[in-house]
Amino acid sequence: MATKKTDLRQQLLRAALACSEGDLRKTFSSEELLVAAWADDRTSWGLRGYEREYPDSNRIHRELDSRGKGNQGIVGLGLLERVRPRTYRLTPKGLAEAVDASSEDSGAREKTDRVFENEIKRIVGHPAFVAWLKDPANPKSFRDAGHFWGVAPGTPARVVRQRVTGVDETLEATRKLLVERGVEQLGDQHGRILVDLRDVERAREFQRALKERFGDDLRILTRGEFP
Amino acid sequence: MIERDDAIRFHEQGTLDAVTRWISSHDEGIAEWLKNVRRAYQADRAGVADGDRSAVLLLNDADPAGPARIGLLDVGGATLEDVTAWSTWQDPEASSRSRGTTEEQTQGNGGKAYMYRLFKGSARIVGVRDGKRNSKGFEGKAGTVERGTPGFVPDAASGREVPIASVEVELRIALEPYGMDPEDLPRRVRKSILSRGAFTLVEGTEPLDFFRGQIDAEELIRRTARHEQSTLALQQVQIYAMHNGVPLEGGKPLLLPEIPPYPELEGPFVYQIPEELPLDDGQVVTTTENGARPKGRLVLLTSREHMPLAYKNLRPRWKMSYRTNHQMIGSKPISDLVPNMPGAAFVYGTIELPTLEPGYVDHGRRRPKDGPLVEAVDLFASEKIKELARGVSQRRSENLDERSLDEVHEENSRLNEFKNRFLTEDGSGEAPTGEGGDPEDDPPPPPPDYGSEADSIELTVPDPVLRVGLGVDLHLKRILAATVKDPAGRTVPACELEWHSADPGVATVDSTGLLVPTAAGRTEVWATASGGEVESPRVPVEVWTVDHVLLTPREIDLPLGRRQQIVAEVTNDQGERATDVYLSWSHDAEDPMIVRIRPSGWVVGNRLGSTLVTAGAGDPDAGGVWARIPVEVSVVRGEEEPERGSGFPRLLLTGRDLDPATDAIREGDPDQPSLWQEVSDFEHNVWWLNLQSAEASFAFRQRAEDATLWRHFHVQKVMDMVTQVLMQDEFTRKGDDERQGYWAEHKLAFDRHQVHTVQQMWSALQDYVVAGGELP
Repeated sequence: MATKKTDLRQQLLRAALACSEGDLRKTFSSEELLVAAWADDRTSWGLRGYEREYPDSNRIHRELDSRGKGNQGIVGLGLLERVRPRTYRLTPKGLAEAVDASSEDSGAREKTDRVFENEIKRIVGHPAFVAWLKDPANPKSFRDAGHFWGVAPGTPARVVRQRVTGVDETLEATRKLLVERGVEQLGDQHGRILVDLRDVERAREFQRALKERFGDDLRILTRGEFP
Repeated sequence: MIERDDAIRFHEQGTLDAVTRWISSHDEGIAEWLKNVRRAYQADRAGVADGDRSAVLLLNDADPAGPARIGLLDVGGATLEDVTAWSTWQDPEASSRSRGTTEEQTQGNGGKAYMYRLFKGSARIVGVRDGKRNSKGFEGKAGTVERGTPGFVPDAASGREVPIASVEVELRIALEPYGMDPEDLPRRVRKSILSRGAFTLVEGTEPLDFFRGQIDAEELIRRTARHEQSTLALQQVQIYAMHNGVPLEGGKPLLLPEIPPYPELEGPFVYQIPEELPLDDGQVVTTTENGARPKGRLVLLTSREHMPLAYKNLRPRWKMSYRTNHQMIGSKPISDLVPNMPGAAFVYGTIELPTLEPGYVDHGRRRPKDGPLVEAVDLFASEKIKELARGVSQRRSENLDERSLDEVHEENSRLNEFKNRFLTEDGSGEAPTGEGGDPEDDPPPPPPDYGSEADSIELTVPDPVLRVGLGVDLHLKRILAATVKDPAGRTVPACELEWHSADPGVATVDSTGLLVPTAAGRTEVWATASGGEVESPRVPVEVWTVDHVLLTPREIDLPLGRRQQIVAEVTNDQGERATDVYLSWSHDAEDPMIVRIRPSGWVVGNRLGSTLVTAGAGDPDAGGVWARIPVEVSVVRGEEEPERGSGFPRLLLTGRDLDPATDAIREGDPDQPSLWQEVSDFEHNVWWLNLQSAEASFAFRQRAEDATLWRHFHVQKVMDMVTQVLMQDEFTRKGDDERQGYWAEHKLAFDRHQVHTVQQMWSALQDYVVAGGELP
């Protein structure tokens, strides 16, 4: 049974889906997110005593931000990414949960599937991945792995963590989406396969191999915070 | 709050330009007039009975003292209401006055725009009906506001509700400038005018854009008749045409020229358009506004002739026309729907869909407006066109006699060797000379240094093993680059090889070197020559049962003539993985030549376009496994010119020789010249004798009874090839002064004329070649 906390999170994800229109590159402000959530459920997101008139910005910040151990906010859970102060975008993991939480029609679902298609396409089309397929000893230098993750010496530790775990979360979110739907592939209406579980698993093997091979480099770049 | 102006203000000249600029030729304008006639005859307007539905187009340029003029005389009889409505620009009610339903749109502008823009002299509409005459028109400099302001002709007193003595007298006066009497009119038109007591004449004087004012009447009539805006009028009204008082078309009504259909595919092919259609992005659109409008249909027709090649007659009709209940709303060339599709050049058609109106009706009705419904219907239509075009392509391919083909293949190999005497190995016909040197002074090139006694067979042996998917056939001679050498290390050309497999239970190899895997496992293959005395190294072969194929990258932009490898990671049924397994490759573009792919996954961009490339092993319907996700390859224009391959250029034979770009047999193509070279061929320095081209297949068919004719043709093509190679060399090695693309453009134009002109000439000359006698 869903708790109130889960309900609020799902509402927020639905609001994020509406704000982003399913586009992972589209950012939105916390105010836009709040207004979208409030429009959906004024009781939960309205200012006490004035629920129908005004949204309550405190409520959204409670859901967005972490409130200590065991009570991670929606950002800490990797569902939204903070791009700048008070500006966010959906992560692939967040998108997957948002689609699950919404009762959108099949067209919206397919649009979301295409987002995952593009994310996986980006990963398996990367030269570092191609080189690894040809010879698992590749990539031999951290520079190539860093190119894959989009990090380099000098990248802030927070960004390094975010980028590396971002790949993990994209792959995991895609895998989970497939498993939850009980399918091995996501396809479109024309029968074209967009995402294949076996390709996703192969990309996860690659990510694991990279993290293992360049764990020391990652720990240095993240000042020891990388597991 | 707003305090509005008392009226909307338009810039008169700007508005006139905007609403008339789409009309640019007389055939377009006359088509608009014809539409107006058809519309005027409807029951809610003049109510012309079926037997009276006729009109005559009048063209006159014979009067040296007077201006040339173009007019259309119909039996409707415009009233004061009609000419008043005619006076209003951009009146949306113009075509639907007194009628609740929408009719074929006349915009209230088309015919008028023509009279405004394309005549230098006066233009008018004169109507006689119910014993009265009304006439309004334009006068003034073309393209001015003055001209665009209509008025009674010659003034209100003489042009507005003027009582007439008789229709016949009025008709006689109206026809006088054309040098005609009522008796000269087609009988049916004259009879209807007199019996109805009514007529309308729209006309303009001093038509623009005719050389010295002379009207090319035959051409104008032809163009008007095939204009899609004329179609409905020609179907519903008997339209006659007269030039200087002389009936055109033998005095018969104009007809849409018949297009003889493609044999065995006569059609028409009618498909109901589904109520819902998907778009590329997965959205679904309704074609009936959710059942509120009638369903539509697609009608496809075929042409016996190649339509885009028949410039004057068929090319303008090589279109998909779009119709609603009442009107044509435009058209698109078939090539917009199915670009680069062999066989589609013989297909045209109509989409009839009421829901396209009004949302997709564009001003001028040249093309329907873009939007999701048109996009979805186009997708549906393009699939059907492709099906039909495939049928045409199959029928166009000549079934060539296999035995003759083998003989010709052998002859071609010999001619190919022979022609090298006239070339050097760098492809030119003369040894390189110093600047200012005279080639005449240089010694002739030395003959190629070939051996004749086989001593060894060299193979490129894959490391560590040649892996191939079960279900994938491979030509070993190409894959292993088998070369026979003599004791001095010189190449021994045309040396027959025998191929062997250690375990035919795993893979067999036939006499041509085709490896056919039969079961998963390991074996060895090798080649022998000279009756087994000379043996190649043994090549280990592994046959894999493919379980999964992952292709990467997923998107490639490939400049024309460039190559890139698509990596295929194969997982076999034992869970082993490798990226060096030879697979079968295919792509889904209707034009098979967009890309050329080798079994190792190297792709060459051969023609501009996009396609989805995939790879696998075996028949997917019989357990074969192919990549689930294809690679999107777009061949784009590159900045660098393709480079020609090294060595002697080779003349190969379609239907027999292996294409070095794919390691598979190149099939002929009826839409390519008999001497054929693609971009990928240029890079491999090969040319093709295309036996599916019209004149090559003709010569081939005559071969059994007239071998001389064939040999003459064959030799001529070899000489053509050598000439082109020499010209190519001459035009591309003159240094920086020569543009790199010069020869490529030259060659493209040459090929285009070969296909467009020579094939048409050939079609006309065939009978002469066979039987002699008079030229056609």
